[in-house]
Amino acid sequence: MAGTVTGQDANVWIAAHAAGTAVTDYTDKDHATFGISDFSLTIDRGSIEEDLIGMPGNYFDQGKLSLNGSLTECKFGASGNADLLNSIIDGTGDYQYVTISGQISDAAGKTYLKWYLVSCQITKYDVTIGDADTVTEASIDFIVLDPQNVDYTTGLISDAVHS
Amino acid sequence: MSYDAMVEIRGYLCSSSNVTSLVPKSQILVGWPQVLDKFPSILITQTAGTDTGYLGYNTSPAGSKLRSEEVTLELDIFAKTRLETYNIADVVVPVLIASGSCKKINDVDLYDDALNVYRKLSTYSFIKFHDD
Repeated sequence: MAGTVTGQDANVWIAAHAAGTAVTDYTDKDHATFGISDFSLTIDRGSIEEDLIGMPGNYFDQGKLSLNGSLTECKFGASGNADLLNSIIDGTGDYQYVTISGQISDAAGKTYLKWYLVSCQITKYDVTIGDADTVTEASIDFIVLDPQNVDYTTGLISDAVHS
Repeated sequence: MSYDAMVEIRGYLCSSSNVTSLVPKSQILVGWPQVLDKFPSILITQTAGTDTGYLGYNTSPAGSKLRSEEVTLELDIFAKTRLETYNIADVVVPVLIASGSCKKINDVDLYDDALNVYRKLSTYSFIKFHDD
């Protein structure tokens, strides 16, 4: 993994799907379709602390892993793809899960950070409308529902092996 | 820099009968002419501009590359009387605000010694979105 890039080199794909199925067609599922201007992916690892009765100090160990993130879109269901809205409002059948994948850069010859998360749930869809100088955008939060299945291999963060 | 943005702004002004009733279309100009001798007139020039590619600009297919362009435009209103510059400015503002993502960010009253006319200098910020 090497190289310094900016957001204009990134890719993001978002597609809703039913449980146990994989998205095979990413046509009209990319960042341009949704008008994504910001994207973040956060990986949290907690810690566990236990008192050691009668002994000095406490016992620490790894706690739970969680993956969540957020993004903004300026193209909504009527003009773009409605997977995000369908996921949070309908949330069943073909919209039960959302696959969110992407990469820092698609430049050839280098390995950049990638993610392929097939068990995402949209947890928040917040549309904000401002004045004439403010782009109308929606802020969206998502969480990965199966962090126990997430692994990391040469630049790829994925839970797809158990999809 | 966008010539299109300046032409677009001129188009909004020329399509408003409130504006053209005070300033003829032929005297709403983009850029300084060699000689400015007809008044009242409106001059549109660009003073600053930024273009920013959205997330994934390089990886999007042609025709879907989102780019925001923020242009700072200077509108000079020239007229024989101070009142005329105010009247013109008052009809220009709502036309430009209604045009979309446009806001006025500065306003100065001047007298132009070289042209011997009153001048009202207004600065507008204008956002355009492109699908390159």
